[in-house]
Amino acid sequence: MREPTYFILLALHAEPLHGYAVASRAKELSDGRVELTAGTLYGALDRLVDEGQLVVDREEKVNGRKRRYYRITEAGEHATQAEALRLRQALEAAAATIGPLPKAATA
Amino acid sequence: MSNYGIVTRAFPADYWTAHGDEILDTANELHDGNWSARESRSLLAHGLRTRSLAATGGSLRQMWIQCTILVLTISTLAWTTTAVADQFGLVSIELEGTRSSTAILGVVLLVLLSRSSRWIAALPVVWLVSLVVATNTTSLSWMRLAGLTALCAWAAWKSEGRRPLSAPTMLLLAAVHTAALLVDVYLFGFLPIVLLVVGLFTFHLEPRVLGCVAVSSLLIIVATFEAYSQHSPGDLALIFGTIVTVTAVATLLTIRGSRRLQRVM
Repeated sequence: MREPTYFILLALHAEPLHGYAVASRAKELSDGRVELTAGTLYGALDRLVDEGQLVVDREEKVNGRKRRYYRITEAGEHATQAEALRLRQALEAAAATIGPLPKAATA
Repeated sequence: MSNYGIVTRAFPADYWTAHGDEILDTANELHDGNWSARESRSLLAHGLRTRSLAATGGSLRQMWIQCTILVLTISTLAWTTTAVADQFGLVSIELEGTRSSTAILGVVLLVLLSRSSRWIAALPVVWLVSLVVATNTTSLSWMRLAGLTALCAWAAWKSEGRRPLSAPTMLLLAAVHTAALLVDVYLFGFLPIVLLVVGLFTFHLEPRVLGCVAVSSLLIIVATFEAYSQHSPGDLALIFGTIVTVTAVATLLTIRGSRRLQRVM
């Protein structure tokens, strides 16, 4: 799973969000590393909906502008957990091989 | 007016009608209302991907299969068209044995891939016209290739069980090419490349319509470039006008026959 996809799924873990909120949350969760563009964001959202990992929860009009809210599905939750587990295993392997890792610098 | 007016043309019309405003709003929010080159690139990529998916059946796998087949088709046509052009003394490119064999292999592969049949089914028209004009040919290599292509295309056409969408376009192209050949003005060989350019600028990714014939004639176009430069501006204007007219008619004929194509335009 690519990093933007992972953070998009993670961003939607707590509650359904619209596109801009997903991008903002993903950036926040990744300490500013994942800066999604609208093209990448909606490309990923469309693909994840097609794969059944997300569904469109509802559509709302805010100031006359339509917004789709996306919700993570059970399949999406499983995929996120599997990726998190894979990352943890990779981290543990790194720690076991090269010793305790220094704390990542925050933005 | 949107900051991303041009790249939004990459999206299929129905998709953009449904989601365009939302995507643009998000893009503007993400970049504080400023234009972003990175955003333009990603919107273009997303638009082309969406359009390709819409034109090829909806799945990413299907899209890649179709693209691969398209490349094969184009390669095959490039080689075979070179052979035809060479036969008429239009270009000086020799058809090498390797090229000929690869072209034959390409044709067979295309037939084996069922999804390609609708594209390759258009080939008999071109070959038929070429054969009529070149009955006195002595090139066994060319004849073999033409015969095999026609046979494979016929088989593919039969297996597909329906008329290819590109048939009207191909018929028209074949007629134009024949007329051009008969009056010994093969400058109409430029027609395919104009079709390609028009196709690219309208983000018309339906390969059956434009791509096959367009890229296939690239070799001829390059080789006849010198001859083209010898003509007067008046002749060039006449030729260009004809090409544009024929292109428009050919495209309209094809689009009219396809509801799906109309949706993705």
